Formats: sequence, structure tokens, C-alpha cells
Amino acid sequence: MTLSERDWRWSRVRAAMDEAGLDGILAYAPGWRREDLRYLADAQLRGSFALLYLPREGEAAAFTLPIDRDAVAAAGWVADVRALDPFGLEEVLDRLRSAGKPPARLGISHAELLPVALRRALQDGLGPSTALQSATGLMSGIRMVKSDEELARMRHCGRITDSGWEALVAALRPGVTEYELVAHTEARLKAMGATDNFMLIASGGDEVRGMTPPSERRLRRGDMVRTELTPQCDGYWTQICRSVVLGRANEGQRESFELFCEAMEAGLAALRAGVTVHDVAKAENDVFRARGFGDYCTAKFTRVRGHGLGAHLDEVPIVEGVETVLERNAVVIVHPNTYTPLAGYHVLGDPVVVTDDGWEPLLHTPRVLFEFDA
Amino acid sequence: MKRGLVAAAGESAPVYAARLERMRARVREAGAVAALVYGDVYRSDDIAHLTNLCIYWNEGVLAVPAEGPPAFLAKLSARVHPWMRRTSVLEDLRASQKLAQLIASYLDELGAGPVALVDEDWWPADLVADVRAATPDRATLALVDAIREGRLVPDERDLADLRRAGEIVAGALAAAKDAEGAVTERIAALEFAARGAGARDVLVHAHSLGDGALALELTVQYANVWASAARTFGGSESADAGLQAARAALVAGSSPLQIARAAGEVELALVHHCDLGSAGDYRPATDVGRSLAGGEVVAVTVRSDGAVAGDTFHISAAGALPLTAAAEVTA
Repeated sequence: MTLSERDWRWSRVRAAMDEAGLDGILAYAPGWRREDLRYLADAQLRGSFALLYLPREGEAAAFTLPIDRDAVAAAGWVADVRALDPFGLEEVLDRLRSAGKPPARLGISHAELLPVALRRALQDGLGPSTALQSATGLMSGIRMVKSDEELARMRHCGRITDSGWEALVAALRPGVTEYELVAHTEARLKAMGATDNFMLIASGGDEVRGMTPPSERRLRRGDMVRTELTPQCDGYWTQICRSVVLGRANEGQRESFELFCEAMEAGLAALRAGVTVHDVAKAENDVFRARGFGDYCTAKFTRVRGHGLGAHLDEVPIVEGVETVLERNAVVIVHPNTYTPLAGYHVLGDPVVVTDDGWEPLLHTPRVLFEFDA
Repeated sequence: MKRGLVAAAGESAPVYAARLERMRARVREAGAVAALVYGDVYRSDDIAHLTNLCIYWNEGVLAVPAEGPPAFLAKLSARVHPWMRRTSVLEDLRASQKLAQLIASYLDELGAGPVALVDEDWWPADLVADVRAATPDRATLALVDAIREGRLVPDERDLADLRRAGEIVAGALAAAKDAEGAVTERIAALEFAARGAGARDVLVHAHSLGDGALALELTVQYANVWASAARTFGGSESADAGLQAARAALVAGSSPLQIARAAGEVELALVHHCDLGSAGDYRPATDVGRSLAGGEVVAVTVRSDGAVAGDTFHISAAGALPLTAAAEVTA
């Protein structure tokens, strides 16, 4: 990505720092939550942890394990790349104190995950004059709105996502195991340049209650295979949720699809810049409620009615009661996924870019109940 | 990401029962009512070792009481509990968005007495603070490396899985070597071979060296163990020579420094199989420099001028048997 993209991002983060009264942000990147550091450095990390310091004024500095040093430097956004010693944080402390005194208020993104050893080293090294506070919400709020360069990456990832779904459908046949389906899908995604993928799957009939990692279960004719397929390309995640029947769909499966399609379309119809996630979730759930399936929109059966996507695969949750406003160029997936007695757990969802008057699709896969006769 | 096969404990259930009983003995020895083990989707091998539970998303805490069955406490919805019961040896699964309160309520059921936090330094500091605040009258004890140390020398179950993991690594690298086309096509072939053979997680890093040469580093999780290997397609004489020299020094009693010296003028990384999922980043400081013991399994990776060579070895007094070199495994 370009340096002007970096400057745009850093200026937004610094404006948020001003508003929050922070002197700097320390982005903490544990192995499973690297999105904030990715956002600030545009680097693909492999190590178990890394840190990046962005002061309100002055140069940023990244602190990495040896495995990530070259990747961060090569990205070209951060010139000051230093070694990270998780047992001492000497380099981090040295940089934080380089202005003559440590920051009075330091925001830490993913502070909630900062390990005891790192928190202790940081607090002891900075002393009581530095107040540490979480900047996790601040960063996720900033990341919600995507730039043109981010959207270009997500559109590219959308094309790979479509192809991954096609590979899964093409591999369906009686006797194939769930994990073999994943292997076929994974190979297609990697061939097209995906760097990672998060995938949940479930196969069977109306007894299926939720999505899980793949098992040794072998597909049978009449099974409905559901997947949430979530590839990552160049640091950005998109997702597709689809269900496919091995053979011809039965009446319950068709009725279920119609319900989910109507709910998803209702959610999309409610979507435009300025609405809240509550508005979208309510539009989806109202369809279930109108048909007598309102109980299946509760936490007993489902988690969310969609969520944000971007540098993390599970950003702002789309649920009733949450009043987060969706801004122009936010990316969300609308998926009314849940269990009903009609056909068991059903998934259907498309990621879209929020626009002033609606949304722009990121996928081209048809919104149908797939039937595949191998 | 852990998106590959997750199989039930099945016939191995007694193995997990024995591991849990050893952990209970550690808890009693420490004078605690329970030990708490933190894990997340990135690092949860200790929890998997005791229960066969795969934390495929988010985070949670395994509680092993001094007496009685273990419990898993997590923010993950109770909707996934049936799957967790099917695939692990756990029966007691509890869910709440307020994890510290959930832990406190669980500990209340066990009665008075200290609780041991396993490897507390790597717990989220906020969670530890919340647990202490929720259990103000309960002392906490440190239990360092209490599970990992029992994994250093794999038992029969883990050794069998390590051999299978080694075969998967060897097969996947062979598939990558045979594949034609771009780097992404080689990685696709590797992923297909590994996932199709039952790998749960696949970590691959590729870098081109020019003149068509390609360095590939592969780490695979199969069941609850990891194996790793590295190959350079198109020329890696110095790295290969370094690996062979290091292998000759891989005997019980040798230190990492001795092994590195034997490898010569190359960069050498030695990571225990227990630590491969996180590349050794969480290894206790006390473990650095420790000499190898017979029966341990370690991954050795040698780098030289961009080329890589590496394998995972089972150590004995007689030497090192590679688990990830297909021909020797077959032999």
C-alpha cells in the first residue's frame, strides 16, 4: 500500500488520540489479534507477539521478534524497527521515554489481552506517572471505515472467496469427509493467493445445530452442507455463507432457504450509511418473528446477524440492542445464520460495502440454495 | 487457523484420564484446590494435551481440581458445548461473558484454599486482575511449566501422532516439490496434501531465492502435536550440510550450543515439538540452553544465504531419527 494511505490512517488515529487525550498508542499484536498492527504497519506477521508505538507527534516504532523484522521493514511504513524482548521490553521502554519523559496517557490496543509479563514490564518501566488505558475500541472504530486501497484488497479477496465456494461445491460427493472438503477448498484459495482462511462447516440433516471445525463425517446423499468460508488476502478478510444440498433439496430445506433469503434481503434493504447495526439486525429478525421463528434469533440458537469485516474477520457485531452507526465504506457481512426446525442450522450471507444509499456487493456467487448432484 | 480435522478422543480417552490424574497430583502437591490453565485459539496445546479439546476460536480457561473432573470455562456460547463434549473428554463446560465471575463461581464450589495459575506470566493481565478481584479471599499460587514439562518426552499417544504428523509434513513437502507453476500452486498442493491427510493446522512460509529456487518452511499440527520441516527446492548445499552436521550432534545430553556449533557457519533454530505451534516464543526462560533428554522430539531448522533445511527429530542416546524425512520414516 502507498505511503499516502499510511499517512491517512495515522492522521485518523492521531485525531482520535487528540479526542481521547492520549499521548500515544501502543498496538499489541498477539498471535490471534494482529489487526491493529497490520493496520498501522501494513505488514503480515508470523510471530506470537509484536508491538507498534505511534506517538501523537513524532516517528512510529515497531518492535518484533526476529521472524517478523524483515516483513515489517519491507512494508516500508515504519522505518524504526527494533527487536522485541518479551521478558524485558527494553527497546520499547527506551523508545517510549525518548522524548525525555514517558507519555502521561498511553493507549494500548488489545490491552485486554496483554500478558502479565508484558504489562508488568511496561508499568514498572514507565512508572506511576504513565496511565495505561485500553485503546481497543478506539482502533476498531477507526478500522471500520475502509479506504479505497483497503476496498480494492477486499474486492480482490471477494473474488477469491467466490472461487473457494466453487471449489467446495465441486468436491461434493457421497463418501467424502468434511475435512477432505476443507482440503479441496483450501487448495483453491491458496492457489489464488489467499494467505489464510477461517472456515466452519457442518453437514447432515435437520439435526445440525451449529457450525464447527470439520470432522471425519462422510457425506450422504440428501445432506445439507453449510459453510462459513473466510479467506484472508493481503491482510483483509471476506466471508461467504452458503448451504448446498447433496442431491435435490427437500421441502424443509427449500422453506428454510426462503426464510433465510428473505431475512438476509431484509437486512440488506435496511443497510446504508448512517443506520445502526441494531437496525440491520432487527430487519433480519423481524422476518423470522413474522413467520413464527423469533425464538431462533436468540442467543440460545445463534450469535450475531452478521458482523464487520476487514483487517479482522469478526469486527463490529450486528445484533439488536447495539447502536453502533455504520458509516460509508464500512464492510459488513449480513448473515441471519441460525438453527430452525425447518432444516437444522442454515447459513446464508454476503459481505457488502456500505454506501450512502445502500451497499455494493463483494461477491458474485448466486444467492440460491445450491443443489449438487455428483 | 485450526480449520482442519478435529477428531474425538475415542480410544485414547484413558490416555487423557491418566494425564489429568497426573495434573491433579501436581495440584495437590502445590496445596491448591485447583489449577487454572489459560488458552486461546493461537496457543492452547496444554489444554488439548489434557482434554483433547480444540479451542478453535476465542479463549478460555481449563480448571483441573485437586479431586474430580475438569471443567472448561469460556466466553464461547453454550451452543458449542455439544461439539466440545463430542470431541473432548470434558463433561463440565460453562459459559459466560464475564469470565472472571465464572471462574470465581466455579472456585466457590470447590471450597476454601489457594488456586494455582499455570504459567501466569502469559495470562492476560486484565483477566488475572479480574479473577483476583472476584476472589478477594483466595490466595493464588504460581505453577510454572507444569503441563509442558510433561509433554517434553512424548508418551506413546503423542509419539504415534508425532510420527503421523511427520509423515504428513514429508508428504506435503513432496507434493509441493512435484507441483508445477507459481509458488501459490506449490503451496496449494502442499495444503491439499496436508489437509487431506488430516492436518488440523498448517503454517507455511515460502520465499523465492532467484534462479527458480524456493525455500519452504512447513509446520503442521496433527491431532494435538506439531512437526516441522524445511526444504529448499533448487539448491541448498550449505543449509543441507549444516542440518546433517547438526543431526550428528543431536543426541541425549547435547546442549543447543553444542548443536549450533556442530552445524557450523549457519543460523540454527532448535524448537521443541511442544513449542512449535508458537515457534518457541512462549518457551520458559529456564528452558533456554537446557540439554536434550532421551525421548524428546525437536525441530531443527538451518538457514544459510536464504536457503533452508530442517526436520523434526526423535532423540535417543543412539542419535536422532528424523520424523519428517519420508524415506527414513518408511525405513
